[in-house]
Amino acid sequence: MNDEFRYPLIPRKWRWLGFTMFGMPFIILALAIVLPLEFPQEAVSDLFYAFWAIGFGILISVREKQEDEMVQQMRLKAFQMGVFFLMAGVIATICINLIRTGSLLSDWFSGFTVIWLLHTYIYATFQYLKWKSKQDEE
Amino acid sequence: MKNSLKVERAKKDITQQQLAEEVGVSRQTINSIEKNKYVPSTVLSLKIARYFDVSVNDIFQLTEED
Repeated sequence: MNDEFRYPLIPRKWRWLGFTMFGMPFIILALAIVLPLEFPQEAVSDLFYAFWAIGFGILISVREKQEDEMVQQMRLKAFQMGVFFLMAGVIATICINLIRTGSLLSDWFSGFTVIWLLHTYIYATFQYLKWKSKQDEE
Repeated sequence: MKNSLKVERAKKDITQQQLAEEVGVSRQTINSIEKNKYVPSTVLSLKIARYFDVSVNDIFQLTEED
């Protein structure tokens, strides 16, 4: 791969931060109940999607133990598959919603949802490709 | 594409790990190449060939499907 166009990756020591993000919405909601804080009902789902999107975003950006050309190819495949799954999902959602309600997008569909879905698909595909590569060894 | 990487490795009596360290990739990558699950880049193919002191064509060959 051309060295002039390498995507930045996060050092492995930051993996914990990615996993921590998955628990953050629960902590914030618990604090909101205990303190108590005003927390709009419609913001709850966005809170989850936003933190989980950041969590998966960190995990897919963490450097592998050995970041060689095969891993880089897996990353590219994972990103391409992520975009494909996202597009397929968005189109399916639009079609279903159009048939059921007559409008294009459902109310749960936000920018945070889209980013969370994309990162989740990329992470899942990348993990699957790594797992498959390990399976081939056995 | 097929390859004779395993044979070349056996001739030189080195492990996948040793070869991986020599050419700067992971052992898993060497294993995937040997099992024809991954086609290496030109640079990596040349590095492998240089390590075994043979030409790239001696290790990697095109098949009917290619």
